[in-house]
Amino acid sequence: MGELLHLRGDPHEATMLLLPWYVTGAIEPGDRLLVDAHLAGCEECRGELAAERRLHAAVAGLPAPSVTGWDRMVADLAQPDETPRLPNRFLRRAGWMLAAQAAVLVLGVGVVLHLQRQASSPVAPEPYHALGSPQQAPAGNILVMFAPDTREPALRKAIEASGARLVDGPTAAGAYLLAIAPNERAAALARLRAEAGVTLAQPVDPAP
Amino acid sequence: MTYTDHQARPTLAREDDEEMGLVVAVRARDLRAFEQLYRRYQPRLARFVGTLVRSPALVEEVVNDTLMVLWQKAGDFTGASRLSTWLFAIAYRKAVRARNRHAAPSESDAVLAELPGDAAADAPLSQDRTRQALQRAMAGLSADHRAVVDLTYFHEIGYREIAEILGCPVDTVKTRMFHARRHLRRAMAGELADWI
Repeated sequence: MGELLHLRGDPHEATMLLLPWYVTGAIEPGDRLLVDAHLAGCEECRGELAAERRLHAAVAGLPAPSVTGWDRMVADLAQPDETPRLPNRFLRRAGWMLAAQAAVLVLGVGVVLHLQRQASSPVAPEPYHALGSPQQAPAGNILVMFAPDTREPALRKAIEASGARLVDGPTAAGAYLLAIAPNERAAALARLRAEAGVTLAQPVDPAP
Repeated sequence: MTYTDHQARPTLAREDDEEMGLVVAVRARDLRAFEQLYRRYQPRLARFVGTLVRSPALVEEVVNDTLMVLWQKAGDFTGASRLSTWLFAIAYRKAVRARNRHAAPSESDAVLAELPGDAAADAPLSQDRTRQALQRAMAGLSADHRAVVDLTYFHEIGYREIAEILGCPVDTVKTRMFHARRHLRRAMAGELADWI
């Protein structure tokens, strides 16, 4: 594994940093495209990828400490403290299951009424949006990275001059994803590569 | 062309929805819903906390304290992050406090002493030996580096969520992981050249 010199602006180093999450799949779509694009032309990184997969499998296979805690948790729940909890007598009498059932019986009316109030509340709750929802890969076809010292106006000018549209970025690795009509992509890539601050301008064709 | 092992994680969204339903039930003091979440997260949290503190009793204490927060303050979980991120972040803060409270300067050495050392080098190459070598290599990492390795490779959590859990920048997560990988592979290479 090579030394790490910079954090941004170099697709090789960005790939080196991102490989563990590329291996597990917990990587953002733009960063995955960056790694895909770089791996295709970098034998060293492909070797790193193979080693990372072995390391991943080995770490995931390490035994976890054996801890049993539910009984203690139930005992803790039965301890009185300043916060409102389920009545102690239920927990002490018949274990957690009976306690839960008893608690549901005791609290049932109140809970049902409470839930009914919630359900009929005129104020609709915010829809729950899971961050883990599958992210759609943005429909870009050019990946571009800029030197770390590139200022925002120069970055904007380079993207505008290319004729492409910014659809995603910066990713965690500092890459941007642009979209342009397929027949204009080669010319846009050439224009981007001619810009002083551009360190990578790479066509990407994400898998459907 | 892609080299990725896992293309999509559609099951995560389903899990998140299901867990949010359980959290809503916990808010209504449903002990059975709490037990479901407890049994789902206790082993994962125990493994994670075990990378930060060594004593099994302390691991159990931190994990139970963390899950007690879920029981007592489920209303604080708004769904702005994943439940796993919320719980791991609580566990991390509690584990760091517990570690400081029970500071053992030579804890890492003590763990190393418990692991089979060079005497095992004559043993035939086996899965056990690989595991022991990796455990020794992991014990040589700082707790924060070990935590990033475990969150990434065992729990398969993304870099942004890990940054949220540990309360540090995303770049710090990536560089910690980079240096940890380098350490692990150096430590393993001498013993298991064909493995790395």
